Amino acid sequence: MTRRRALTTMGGLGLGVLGLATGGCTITKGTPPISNVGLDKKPAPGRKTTITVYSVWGSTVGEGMVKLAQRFEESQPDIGVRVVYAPAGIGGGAVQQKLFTAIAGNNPPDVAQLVPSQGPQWAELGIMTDLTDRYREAGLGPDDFFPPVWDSITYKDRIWQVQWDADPNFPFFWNKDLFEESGLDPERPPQTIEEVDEYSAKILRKSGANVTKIGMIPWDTYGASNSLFTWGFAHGGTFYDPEKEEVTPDNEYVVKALEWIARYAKSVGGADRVTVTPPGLQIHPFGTGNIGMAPLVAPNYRDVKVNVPDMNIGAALLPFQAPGADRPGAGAWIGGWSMFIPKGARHPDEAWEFLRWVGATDEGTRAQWETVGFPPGYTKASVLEEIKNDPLMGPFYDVLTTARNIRPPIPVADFYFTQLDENVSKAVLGLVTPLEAMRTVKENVMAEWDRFRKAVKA
Amino acid sequence: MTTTSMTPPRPAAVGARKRRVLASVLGETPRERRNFLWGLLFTSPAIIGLAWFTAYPVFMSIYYSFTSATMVNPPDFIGLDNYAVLMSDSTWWRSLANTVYYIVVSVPLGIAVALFLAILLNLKVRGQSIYRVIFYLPAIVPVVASAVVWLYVFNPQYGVLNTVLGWFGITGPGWLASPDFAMPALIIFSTWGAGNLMIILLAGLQDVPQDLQDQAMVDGAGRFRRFWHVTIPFLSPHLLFALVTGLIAGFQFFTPVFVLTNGTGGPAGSTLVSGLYLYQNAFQFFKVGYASAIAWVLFIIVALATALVFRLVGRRVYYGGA
Repeated sequence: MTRRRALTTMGGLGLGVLGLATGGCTITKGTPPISNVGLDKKPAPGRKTTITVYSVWGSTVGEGMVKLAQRFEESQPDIGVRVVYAPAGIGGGAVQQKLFTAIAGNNPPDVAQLVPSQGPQWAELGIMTDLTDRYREAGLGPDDFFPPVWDSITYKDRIWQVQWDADPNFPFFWNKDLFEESGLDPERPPQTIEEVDEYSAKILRKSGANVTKIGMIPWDTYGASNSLFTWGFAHGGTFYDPEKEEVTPDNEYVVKALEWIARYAKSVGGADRVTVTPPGLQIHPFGTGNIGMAPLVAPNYRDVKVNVPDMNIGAALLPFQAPGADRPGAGAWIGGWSMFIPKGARHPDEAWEFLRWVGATDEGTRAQWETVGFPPGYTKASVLEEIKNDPLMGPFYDVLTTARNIRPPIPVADFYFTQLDENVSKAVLGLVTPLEAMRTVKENVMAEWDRFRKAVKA
Repeated sequence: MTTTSMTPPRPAAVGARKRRVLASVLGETPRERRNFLWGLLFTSPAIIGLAWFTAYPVFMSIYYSFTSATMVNPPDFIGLDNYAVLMSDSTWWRSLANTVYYIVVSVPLGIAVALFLAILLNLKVRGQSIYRVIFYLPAIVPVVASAVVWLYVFNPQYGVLNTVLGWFGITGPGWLASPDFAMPALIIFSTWGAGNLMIILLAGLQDVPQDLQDQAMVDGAGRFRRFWHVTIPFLSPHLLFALVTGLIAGFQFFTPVFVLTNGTGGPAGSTLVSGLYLYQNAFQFFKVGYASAIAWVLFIIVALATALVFRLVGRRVYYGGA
């Protein structure tokens, strides 16, 4: 081969690879809505006080926060709201650089957001304002919130947050068409984990080593740690012993759940061989029609229904596994988002007015549902009746009103989740046994908890 | 033998020495002094910026490494505790092992690929500049954008990489989904950006004297001998530069792994490198003191590794002349 030809070939190959890499793949994308609402908002003019609210969201949810702030301004004449887009990084909201920098620099916003399970750590670090007295003065108590929501916002008998989004994790959905195609009764979802296995065996299709259709991906229910929470609860497991102040990932039923997940992955040829979705997919993989069953969060379910309107989807409560659990839906838990007042906020009274309005008044919860679109944690919200009858949100109402679980409310929750992410993956990939994996998690988390206690003198 | 006088210097001599030092800094004449002060004034934004945004954080991180700093609270001094914990932290050692694995494979591979491309692009053929642009292009694409593109490339079933392997009857691995192949995938991705080094080596290649090549040819040296005994010695300063900067960049490896693994270092911790572990501790677990200790230990390792490279390789570098 001449040098010229070698160069020509190399150049051509390089260009070809570049072209294939950038344009040769099938990409499914949703169409972003056209909107002139930004993610930031200036306060309404002429108000006595202006509060600053940090919003972690982009896209339509971020725009919803702006609209929600406008609705609050319309509801009263005194308080203006400045919304500042302060995106969260990794860790499901655990990393919020802009917020942390503002707090460290003694210039915190009046209202900030957090995932409820982070509350204990942030409270111990002293960056949250105790809201207990404000709740009492407002006449708000446990009866005003769904039980898991109340458990989420309290820590050491004090109240720290207003959980305005009670995210019901999860209803269980199945693809009726795929069921029928696989010889299953499309109107009969699995009730137990055994039935999930039975149905999965019939749905499984492979192309060489790769799985192209699968019954379910139990190790990827919104990440490895959330997967174990969901299926661990569905097996009757617990992750935390509040009496002993001890994490319990080595709980008998949690380990059984992980054994089931690992066994499932092995039965399809390995977790790394499941490639049922094209790269760049914007909707949940369930929407491809290659997954038979999946627990879904509300926005994902809505996206699938909007983008794949012909897909026949059934909804039920999560399958369960006796003897640890005794009913469908036992695995459901409440996630979501809260708001809190950072320590040192300049307008705590006005901030509390905003928090209470959004999360614990009829008018505010309705406004939140109509702008942002998350289910409220406030039991007296009249909008719950609409959510119940909403064709898209109905299954989520069932979970919201029956779920009893939350993720462990401990001061090293995020460390716990990270440990679970890594060690669940190891067990699913067959690198360690489930029991070994969970013992490692327990050992590391308890050591970290001890360190944290010493560091913050908790 | 050199002896040191124990007699203290006389005050007049001390004053004269001070004046000499001041004069050497500020200038001998009033005009020179004025110019110096004006220069200081004009460069003060850069000096203040350097002091405030670089020097101050560096010194604070040394201090924080001896404290239980959490980012949002005043730090407590805990002595060497962070360093002691680090030495028994198995995750830290694993992250360091992952980092070393990355460096040991990616640095030589990156240099080899860059050198290979530089040699090809140094050939005098028509359209040479177009080829150079094509192969330099990946280096100027932002890392995050490239990483997102490579997510598509690495897709086990739909990605171009496994498709090409499939043409040769090879079932491609799960790449980023497989603990055995996730790190190789990151190394392949890093090699994609070899364009910067390629340009440096290309410049070096153009400095190799043609007459030496010709003389070697007249003496009967083949291509390989000419490359090994003429080209490589002239390229050796560039290769040393590539090795040292590659080593330092390898220990700081962060952005691709952050983007391609969604900040987890997965699957199963197989790509958790030291930079990512540092980030997790600082920003996810609020262990700023501990993260600072990690940073300083990394700094020491980089310094030692660089010194070792200079000691082992530096003396073999040919800087021209006799």
